[in-house]
Amino acid sequence: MNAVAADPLLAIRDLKVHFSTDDGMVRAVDGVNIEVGRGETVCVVGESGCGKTVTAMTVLKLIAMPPGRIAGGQILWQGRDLVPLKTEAMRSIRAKEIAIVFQEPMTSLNPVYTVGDQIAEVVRQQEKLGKRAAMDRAIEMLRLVHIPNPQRRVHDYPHQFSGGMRQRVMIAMALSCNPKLLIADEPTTALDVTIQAQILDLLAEMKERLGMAVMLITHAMGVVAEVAQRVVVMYAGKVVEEAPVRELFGNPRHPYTQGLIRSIPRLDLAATEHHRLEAIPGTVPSLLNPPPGCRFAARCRYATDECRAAEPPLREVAPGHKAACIL
Amino acid sequence: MFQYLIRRLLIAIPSLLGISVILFTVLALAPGDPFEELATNPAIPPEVRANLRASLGMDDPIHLRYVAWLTSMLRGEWGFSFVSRIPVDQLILQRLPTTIIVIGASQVLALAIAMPVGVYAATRPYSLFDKVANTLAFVGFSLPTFFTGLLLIMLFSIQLGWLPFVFRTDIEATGWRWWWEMFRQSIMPIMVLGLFQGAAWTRFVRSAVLDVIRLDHVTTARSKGLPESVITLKHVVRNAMIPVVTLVALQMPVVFGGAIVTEQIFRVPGIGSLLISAILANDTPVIMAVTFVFATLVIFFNLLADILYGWLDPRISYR
Ligand SMILES: Nc1ncnc2c1ncn2[C@@H]1O[C@H](COP(=O)(O)OP(=O)(O)O)[C@@H](O)[C@H]1O
Ligand code: SF4
Ligand SMILES: [Mg+2]
Repeated sequence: MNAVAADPLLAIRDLKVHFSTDDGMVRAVDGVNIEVGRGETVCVVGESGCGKTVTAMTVLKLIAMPPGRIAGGQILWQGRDLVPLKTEAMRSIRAKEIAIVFQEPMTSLNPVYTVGDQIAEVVRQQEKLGKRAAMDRAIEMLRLVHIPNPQRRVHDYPHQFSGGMRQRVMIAMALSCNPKLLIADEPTTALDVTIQAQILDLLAEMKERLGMAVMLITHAMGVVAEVAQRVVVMYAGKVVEEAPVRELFGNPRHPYTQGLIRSIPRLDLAATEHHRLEAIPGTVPSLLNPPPGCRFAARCRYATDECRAAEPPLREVAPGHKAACIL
Repeated sequence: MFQYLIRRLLIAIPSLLGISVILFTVLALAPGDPFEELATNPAIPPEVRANLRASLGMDDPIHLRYVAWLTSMLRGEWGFSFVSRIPVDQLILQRLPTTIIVIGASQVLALAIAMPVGVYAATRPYSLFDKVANTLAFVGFSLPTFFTGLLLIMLFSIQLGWLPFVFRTDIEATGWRWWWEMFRQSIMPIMVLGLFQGAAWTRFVRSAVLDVIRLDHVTTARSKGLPESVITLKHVVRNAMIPVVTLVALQMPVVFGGAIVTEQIFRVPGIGSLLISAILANDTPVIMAVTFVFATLVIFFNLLADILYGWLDPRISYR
């Protein structure tokens, strides 16, 4: 699983997404390349505000335009560029080919319809099933994601479910049309720690059963270690490192990646010695007027004048391993 | 649900009693005498007037009069108008249909304007359509009904002479001619009330829709590949209806209040003009009964708002 397959399922090429705000242009995504192969699990990792959500939403053209704008690049889905597609044409891709699960299970479902109605709605739309058959599919999907009593629960409203259960419903809904790619945008961030593990297990199980590719977005390196095959590290609207998961953890090249790995809570160390979580000092710079040179320079302990002068390109440091650092 | 209704209705009883006590006291303490004219009429000796007052119990202490009023009210005897000697309930029943038709039609008109315009404007915020609609709504909402009413009368009745400006109940025609005349004389009051409410509700519908349109579940709906029309109607408008319907129900008493003014301008013989003429004539039984009917309507529409709210929003449960 090292090198990316020759014909990837999804290939984001040099994507630029800008938002016009009162203060100026926010370059939320600034030349991002991400590829996802068939059946592959790719993790996109980075701190909050690095452009992960915008990247994911742009793939399905779900960002608000305006203020958002795809300023450049391609989104190749099975070789076909989605960027020039009109909304009408995008609709047949959504849910059927590429499905998405959002971060907030509490607000992602419509409170006035039963979960059954909301799952049935998508299969009726995309697979032209009848009412009865769509509801049967909804029950089947709830059973698949291990919601107890699915025949009864389909008639319940979202507020009658806990956060974890709602995220299961969201996953059931996303998978109900058998998509080839599931994008999960921080699906566990809003949940309790114990529930987080259950949802990750569920995603792994669904992937094993249904065989779809998964693009999992997270800010937690611990999650990456558990589920990813390949990892893309994003910082301030750019990809700064990309590698197969073992390679990334074994030989992280970018100081930002190294910082993220050091910040993983470690149970073994915490128990033995007085170990402190080593968070990266500083914050993600504003994407409004990004400084020239390496965007991580302000927080990097190895930063030199050379780093600040010109932006280091993403280059191959080992087979299948790329990093954007002069080191 | 049923239990909740019963409980709400039981709570309504003390409120209505309280309202009636206050109303009764205020009216009893208010200056003015229905027999004022008799006092200035030299042909009627003061004893006659005093006897008349005594026979109506008008000189008893307030609390006794209140109890007398309440018991007869509960027996379904609403008393007689001091002025016309017609039973009050008959008077009200005569006038109520006209008011209800005028108000009903104007509210239908208001919603028929506010819903499509408000939704369309909110789905295209800051577009030309939105700006024009917003401005018109603001103007419509700022102009008081007595002003627009007079404006319409000047234009359509006096300048152009197209529409009658006094509402008549004694139209001689029959059949469709009668309906036509009724329609012609109802247009202006309905327009005045309907456009005013329509303007107010357009603004409210727009902001309710704008509140919903940026919620996460709308993005979810979009990620499902639904057509934009389905997203707007099913996932935006349906949710925005929760505050809108509730507000409309809660505002109905205010609308009745506004109708009083409009009825006055166009001389519509509705319940509002009944109240005004009763007040001018110190006709206490009529004032009392009409205000009491209004109070009941307020409580009824509050209850209706509650029920609609729970019906539209499954998160609300009645306990
Ligand atoms: N609608 C928007 N208008 C303006 N800026 C936005 C908008 N959406 C996102 N951004 C900006 O894009 C950047 C990336 O955001 P996001 O993709 O949500 O980050 P992440 O998901 O990695 O936490 C942030 O700086 C954010 O302020
Ligand atoms: S390029 Fe320089 S500043 Fe940027 S990460 Fe590498 S060493 Fe640090
Ligand atoms: Mg995010």
